Amino acid sequence: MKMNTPHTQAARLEQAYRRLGTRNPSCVICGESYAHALELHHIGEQAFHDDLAIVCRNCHRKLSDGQIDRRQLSSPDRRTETIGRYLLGLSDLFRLIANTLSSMARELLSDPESREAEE
Amino acid sequence: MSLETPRKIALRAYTHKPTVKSPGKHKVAKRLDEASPWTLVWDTETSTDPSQSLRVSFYQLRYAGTLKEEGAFYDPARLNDDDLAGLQAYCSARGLRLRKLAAFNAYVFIEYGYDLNATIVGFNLPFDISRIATHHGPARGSMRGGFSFQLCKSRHQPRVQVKHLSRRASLIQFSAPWKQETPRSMRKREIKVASTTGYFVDVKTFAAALLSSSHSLASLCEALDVPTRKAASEEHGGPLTETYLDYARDDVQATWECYAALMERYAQHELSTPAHRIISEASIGKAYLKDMGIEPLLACQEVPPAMFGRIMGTFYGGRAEVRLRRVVTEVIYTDFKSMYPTVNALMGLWRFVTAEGFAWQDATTQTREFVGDVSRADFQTPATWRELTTLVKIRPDGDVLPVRAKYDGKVNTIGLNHLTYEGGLWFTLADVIAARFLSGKTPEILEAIRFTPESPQKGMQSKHLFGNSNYRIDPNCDDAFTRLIDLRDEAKANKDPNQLAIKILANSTSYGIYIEVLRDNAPKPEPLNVFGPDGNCHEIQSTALEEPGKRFHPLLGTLITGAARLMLALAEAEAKAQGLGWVFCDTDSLALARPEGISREAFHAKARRVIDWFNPLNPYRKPGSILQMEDVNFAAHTRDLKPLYAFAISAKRYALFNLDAQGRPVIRKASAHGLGHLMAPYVEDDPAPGVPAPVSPLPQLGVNRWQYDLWYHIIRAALEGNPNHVPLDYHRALAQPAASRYGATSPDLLAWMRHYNRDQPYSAQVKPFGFMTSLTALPPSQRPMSEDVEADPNKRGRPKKQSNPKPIAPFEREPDKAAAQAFDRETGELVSVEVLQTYEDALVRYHLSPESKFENADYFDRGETVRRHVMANSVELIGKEANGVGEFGERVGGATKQQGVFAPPTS
Repeated sequence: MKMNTPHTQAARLEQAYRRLGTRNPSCVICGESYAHALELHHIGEQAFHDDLAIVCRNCHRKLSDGQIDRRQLSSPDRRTETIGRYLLGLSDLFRLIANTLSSMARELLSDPESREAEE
Repeated sequence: MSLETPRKIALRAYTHKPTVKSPGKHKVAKRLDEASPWTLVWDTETSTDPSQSLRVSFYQLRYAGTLKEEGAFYDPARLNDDDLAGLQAYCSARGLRLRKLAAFNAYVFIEYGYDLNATIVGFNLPFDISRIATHHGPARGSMRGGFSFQLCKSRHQPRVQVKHLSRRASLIQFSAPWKQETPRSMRKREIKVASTTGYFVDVKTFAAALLSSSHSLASLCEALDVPTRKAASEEHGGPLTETYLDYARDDVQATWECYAALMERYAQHELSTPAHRIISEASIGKAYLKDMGIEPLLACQEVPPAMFGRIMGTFYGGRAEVRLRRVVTEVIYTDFKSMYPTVNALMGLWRFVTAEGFAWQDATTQTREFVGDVSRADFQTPATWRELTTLVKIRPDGDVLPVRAKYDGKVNTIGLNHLTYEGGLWFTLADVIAARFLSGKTPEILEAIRFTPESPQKGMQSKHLFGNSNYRIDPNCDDAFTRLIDLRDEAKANKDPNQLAIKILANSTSYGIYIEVLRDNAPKPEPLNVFGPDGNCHEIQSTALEEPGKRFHPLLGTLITGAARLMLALAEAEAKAQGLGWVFCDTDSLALARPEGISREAFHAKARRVIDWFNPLNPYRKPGSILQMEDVNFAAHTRDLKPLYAFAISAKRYALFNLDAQGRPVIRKASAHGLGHLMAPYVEDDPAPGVPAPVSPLPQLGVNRWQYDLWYHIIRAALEGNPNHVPLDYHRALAQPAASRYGATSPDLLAWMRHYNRDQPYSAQVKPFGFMTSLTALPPSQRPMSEDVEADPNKRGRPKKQSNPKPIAPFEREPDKAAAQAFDRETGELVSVEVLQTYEDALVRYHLSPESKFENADYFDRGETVRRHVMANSVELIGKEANGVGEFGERVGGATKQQGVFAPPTS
């Protein structure tokens, strides 16, 4: 067994960078940049398309939840279904990004009413 | 000439493996391609015996450039107690960390290099990696043909794979270790983490790419003017003294400083491609094209392989010939300014580079008219060159065309010869027009296809070279080939140090990358699809697997070399019109010959007219002709013409010289072709007696001292009226066995030493990237007769023909010492020194080298060469020519470098 060295933590971080394929990873939705909390998300669903986006675990659950709800949807044409699922995946992504932007903007504009409403 | 004229001609084929997509269309897995801030710099010192084993090595670990740890490591098996005690005392006095080799491999090399993604920096890394390895074997997969080195015994640690590409470059990477690097959560989602291949920067390779010249560490330190210089040491292999350890430690510091200086230069290019991906000038060219948003052809268009087959069939390299053989002749030596960028600019090929693809259409009628009507003068108009993007099928009937054949019965070479062939053959339109201008006969055109670029690619963007807005290239509106030469002229005029980098960029984007073919030697035949000019697919099994490179665009490759041959033909025709001859030509240069009976002034005036003929073709801002007089025509440091003479033996084997007051040659330029593979029989400090010192530094002349001495004697003999008799007893060292140095750069080459290695422990074996000395056995007819030859009364019939031994020896700097250890690399039997070729034997016919592609260029033939008439009756499809020939024109043995023959001859 390999002994622990002062670099174990740094090596773990490098491993996370390798996993994510970048040295500057961040969640495309909320901006989280702690590499160990980041994952790769299939935008157009794993069974249909290979495009990936880096997201944090929280946001990943939110995105995957939407995909689970769409399991029963289908199309006789595989290509059409792929495009449809990809577009829905993108819309989920953009919706969450829009929510983040919106809350950031309200934060800046001190809109307690909206914040309460959101909460 | 006694050699028979070949009946079979060879054409290049397009091949691809049936199971693999074209590289340009590869879906690249998302891989971390940026090293961490850690850098490991190291250098090994080895024993001086043939094993060149590790003794001691120094290393530095730096974080973002700051030194964090410096230390040394050693192989306990190779150091005696005194050396070890000395090393310990040295390290302890300087606060250096001392480790054993195994500890360095596990806790520095693997931990920093692999786990922490450090950049691993060294000078000649393949050699150093081989020294620290505990075991090696042949690499597999994409690194097939290279070595795989074990650094740690555990299979959970990665190995290092090294594949030699050229004298300057190797591919180096970590192999995937036997451990799961993809977390379960990702495996469930069918995502695989791309294993890291490491970040290796060989300073030797990086420097060659950025400076466009080969360097030793000492010369690189000089060239980059770094504070620490590589010192010389005579103590290799001796006791580890403090001075020697200082020397070894300074090497690491010098390597680091060179690396840092090169990184600074590379950063000026502002390229997104990381430094560890740069292995040649071509890598820099490709990186620029990528940053300009220019996609490779293979990623833009599905070109039918049959069309690639047709295009490759028209591909021939540059033209190199001797016309006046072995006759001293006064010349004006000319060359074309940036030949390949120039023909690119004239033909407008940048439009093809930046297009979404290319289209083609039948143009038989127009081409027939064009070829019939066009005159030589029309080619003084740049617009005429734009018509040349056409391939033509002709029925050759004695026309002067490039012909690839085995003129000497052994090796395919290209000669511009008369060709007759019953079937149709494809050529570039430039070659067909050159044929007309050279012979006056118009070839019969059967079919022609004209190529046009598709619409420009979307998303291309301008690029500032070196971050300088004055050096801006916009692929959307500039012709980059013209623009780069203009920028270089501008930089040269302003004495801008970036002129070299611009030149490298112009050369690296103008030709080679478009015709790049990657060779893979399979151990057993594998399926390969071969496409010839007939467009048919031949499904064959071959060990010579060739795949197109990433920027493969064979149309550009063939049009460029075809137009360059036309340019030379135009120069030749204009010289003839002026009443001048020529001595030799080589790709972009032509030595115009002064004919008998005309004055020197008249000769210069006529040569000037030939040069001026090309004035209108200048596509650049700087005025003047694209055909230029080379500096060797002038007296040193002046622009006064000084009578220059040429003595040419065969293609690429020539010397240019002046005559001094005593009528002795003063060599201005000479060729090492056919000589460079031999080790120097003597050093520069011990030159041949009676030969005057060179007037310019030897690198400027193009040869080293012993080659210079040989050329001096060849020319002296010719000037004295004895061109057939060159004395080779002018230096005692020429009586030694002739030796060549080979690196064990592939498992096949290392196998030459298998008989030597078999009985040695691993530490004493010749290892990968170590050196060997190759020698040559005399042919049986020239060997001394054995005294006790007796017929065996029990055997009947003719005795079996004995194969010529292939002598090899462990590396020695002195050929005599190597010869004493020579053995046959196939049988392992010792080879006696008496049967080895000496330098005298090896060089005895150099001054007579025949040029088999001509009718009358046998050993003793002299004077004007006559083209052969090849009456071909069959065609064979072949692979890359360079695979059979070394860089000095010598034949290379071994299974790794044989030219692929892909399809049986077709009648």
